[in-house]
Amino acid sequence: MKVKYLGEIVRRRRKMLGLSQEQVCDGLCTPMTLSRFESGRQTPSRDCVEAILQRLGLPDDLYYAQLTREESQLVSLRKEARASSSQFEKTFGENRQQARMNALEKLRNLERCVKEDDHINQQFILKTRVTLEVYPPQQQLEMLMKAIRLTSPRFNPDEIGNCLYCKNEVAIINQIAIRYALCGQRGKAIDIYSQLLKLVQKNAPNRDRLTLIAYNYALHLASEKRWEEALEISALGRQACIMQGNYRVIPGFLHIEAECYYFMEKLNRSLELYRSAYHIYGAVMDTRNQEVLITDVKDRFNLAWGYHPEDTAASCPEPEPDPWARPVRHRPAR
Amino acid sequence: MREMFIGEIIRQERLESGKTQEELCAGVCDPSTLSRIETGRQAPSRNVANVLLQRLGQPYDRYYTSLTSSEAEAEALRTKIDSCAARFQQSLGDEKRQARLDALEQLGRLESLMKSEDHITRQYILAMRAALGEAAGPYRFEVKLNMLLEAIRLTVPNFDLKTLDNRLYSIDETEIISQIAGTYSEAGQHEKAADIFNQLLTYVREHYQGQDLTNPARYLSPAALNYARELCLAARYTEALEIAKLGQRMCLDYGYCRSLPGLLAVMAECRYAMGESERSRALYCQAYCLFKETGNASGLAHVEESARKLLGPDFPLWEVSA
Repeated sequence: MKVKYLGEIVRRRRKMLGLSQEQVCDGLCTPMTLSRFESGRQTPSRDCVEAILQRLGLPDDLYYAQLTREESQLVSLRKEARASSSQFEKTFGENRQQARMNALEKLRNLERCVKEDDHINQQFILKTRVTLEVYPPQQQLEMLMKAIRLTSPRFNPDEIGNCLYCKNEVAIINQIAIRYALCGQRGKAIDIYSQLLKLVQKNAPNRDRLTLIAYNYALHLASEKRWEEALEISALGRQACIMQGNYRVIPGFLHIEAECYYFMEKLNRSLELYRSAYHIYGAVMDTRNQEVLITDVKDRFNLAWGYHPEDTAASCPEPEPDPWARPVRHRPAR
Repeated sequence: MREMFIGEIIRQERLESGKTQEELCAGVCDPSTLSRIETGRQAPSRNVANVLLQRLGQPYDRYYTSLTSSEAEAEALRTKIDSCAARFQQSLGDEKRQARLDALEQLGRLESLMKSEDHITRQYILAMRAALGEAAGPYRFEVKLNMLLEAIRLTVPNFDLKTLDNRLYSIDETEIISQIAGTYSEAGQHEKAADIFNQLLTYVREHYQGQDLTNPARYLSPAALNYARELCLAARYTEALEIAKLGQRMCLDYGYCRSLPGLLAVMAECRYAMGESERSRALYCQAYCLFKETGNASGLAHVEESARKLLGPDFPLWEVSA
């Protein structure tokens, strides 16, 4: 067993997909850099390599490399920024402002070390700023569009499928769809999700995003009263959860399905699903969404379900960085 | 960024861990072979590289490799066998029997493919056979235990249950030790089993919690579940509850929850024993719903049996309090 040089693998895959060097490296590095990479003469930055692998649908954690000291520092600063941003998203109430300040500080630390032309990290910074600062949705949308175009200059929300994307880009597109919905353009958001879903089903490293894309997609479909479609997408998402072992999102899907069946007047089925979701929210300690569910069930079935303080997540010691922020669930419009 | 050969990686990690070549390669290959691997003069087989990396607590499944075609075939077979084994664990009745037959068939194919000196694959096969049993049914306690001990000794020649620590183990090796403990548990020797599970949990927490490993929860939470379950069987409820909660935290922190329903079931039983029947009911409901939604028929049946014994035959009667 010999570790092949990555460049060989990249070239072979690119040719197999019938792509030119320009197509693959667009927005990430120059075609010359990619060429030198493929022939083993030079390896670009680790971030760049990762993005190229993801775009080509190659597993991006199947290589090992010695990072330069500079790269090491960038990687660890970004990890910290991601972790504190993720922590902020989970913090509510009186600690939220402090969590925001912490996260912004970590982001500034990263920003100081990032070069102007380092598009990948500039993109990360811009995207994280959107999460942390309080801007109106329209402005957020503009910032996110700017962010995606740093590495995907030809990004077009109406024709997503024509380009290659890496994981962070898929995450940004998800955020863009959320902002369209917040700006009242729900049809457009749904359209983007539909395209995104097709994309991640094809492209292996992005497949672990499938769960969350399916969740958002189903949520928006339900808001538009497209019950059958929402059920279909939700079932798909649930299956993906089970296969990946990520059970935390299962109750979210059951919750959406319970809503759909309620409005389709299949009340028994609806209550059954509400009940499952209720218990599993408790199992995964998702108090916020469990509370929403408890209110729904009270309104709709006049049942008073409680929650147990032990099912509340106490402060986690070191939360695993979650680059994929779940949107706070909002209730579908009636 | 500079690419490295697998031997360099092994050497670097070994030096950082402070282990000698002898300690690392014991039972797997000669020290002289390891030396050649580390200096790039010899390419290790995939199996050997996996074991060495796992013993060092390093990610082992992330190297682009050019496998020989028989290595690739063997790997594909192992994946098939693992998934049959998972199906075997989770199903009941006819489906279970069928899963066992499928797994045994694939094991036979792997055996015919395997080279005679490949004791790592031999170990995997032997341990898997011990777990599955034969077409007619599971093995008796002594037979199973002996098969497992033989299996572990293929790569850990001085294996001794009394001195588990001070050694490095690969993931397959910790799996086998876990199965040994499980076998003692099936035979009713709960204190002994609990002791082994305790040592295993300590080991994986120390060695596999590295941030680099693809997902530590895959190894941590099952270890917690095994130990918690055993403590519960030994009627050590307070300790069991603590370990189960730890396991739950691990699942949720890392987002990998396959052990979660089992942990909740253990917590439910503990709560009942501690006189908190309402809380117990709630936890049983959580475990029940999770097993049901994830299609784990065997887990579901266990929860039903346990809950009905403790809370009454009409579980899960859905009342006003859900």
